[in-house]
Amino acid sequence: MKVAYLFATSRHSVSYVLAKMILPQLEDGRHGVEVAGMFFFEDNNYVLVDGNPIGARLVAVAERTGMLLMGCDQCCYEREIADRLFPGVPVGCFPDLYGALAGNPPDQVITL
Amino acid sequence: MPTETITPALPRPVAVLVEAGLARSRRVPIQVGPDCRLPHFELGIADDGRVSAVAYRSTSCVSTLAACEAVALLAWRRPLTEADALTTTEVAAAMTGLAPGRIERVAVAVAAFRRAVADTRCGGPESQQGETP
Repeated sequence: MKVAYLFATSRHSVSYVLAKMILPQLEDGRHGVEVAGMFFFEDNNYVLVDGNPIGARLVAVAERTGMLLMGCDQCCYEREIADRLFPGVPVGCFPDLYGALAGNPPDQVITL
Repeated sequence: MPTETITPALPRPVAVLVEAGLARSRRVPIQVGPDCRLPHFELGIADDGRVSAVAYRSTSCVSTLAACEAVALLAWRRPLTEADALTTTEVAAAMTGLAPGRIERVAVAVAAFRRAVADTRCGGPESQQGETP
C-alpha cells in the first residue's frame, strides 16, 4: 500500500509524529507502507527550510525512495521561506500536489 | 520633454504582492479572459501614451497572482512601449522570496500582459480608467 501524508495541524504533528515515529521507521525501512509523498501546511513548512535537522533526514529518505516532499506555496510565502527550502523541494498548491502524485498515486491520504 | 516614470517601491515580498493583488481584484473586478487557466489583463492608456490603469484577473495560483501584481506595479505610468518590454527577469526581481521553481509563473504573467498590450494597440478589450496602484 502507498500513502501520502498531509501535515495540516501544528503542535506535535511534525516534531513528534513525523520526527519520532514516521521518520525513524522510514529510515529503518520498517514503516510498513510506501510513502508516496508528504505535503506541509502552515508552520509545518519550517521543517523544509534548508538546514533543518529533521528536514535533512526527510530529504535523505526522499532522495533514497523517490518520496515527494512539497510545501504549501501560500504558507511558505506568508512566512517568507519559499526561497529557503532544501534544494529541489518545491512549493505548490493542490493542483501541483495532485499533479506531482499523479505518476505515483497513493492508496490512502493521511491527514495529521 | 523628459519623461517621468512613477514606480511604487519595489521589490516587495510575494505575500505582500498577493494581498495587494487580492485587494485590486476586489476593487476592480474584471471578467475572465478567453482562457480561464491563464491570467487576463486590461489596460487603460492616457493621452500621453502612458499606462494609466491596469486591471487583471489572475488564476488562483498565488505565485501567478503575485507576478500579475508586480507586472501591474511595474507597468503603471510607463509608456506603453516601455511597459511592453518588461521581462520575466525584471518582474521576478520585483518579487522578493519567490520560490525558485515558480519563475515560469512570472513568465505566464508577463505573456498575459503582452497580450493585453497587443489587444490595446488593436483597440481590443475596453480598458479600465482611473485605476492606480
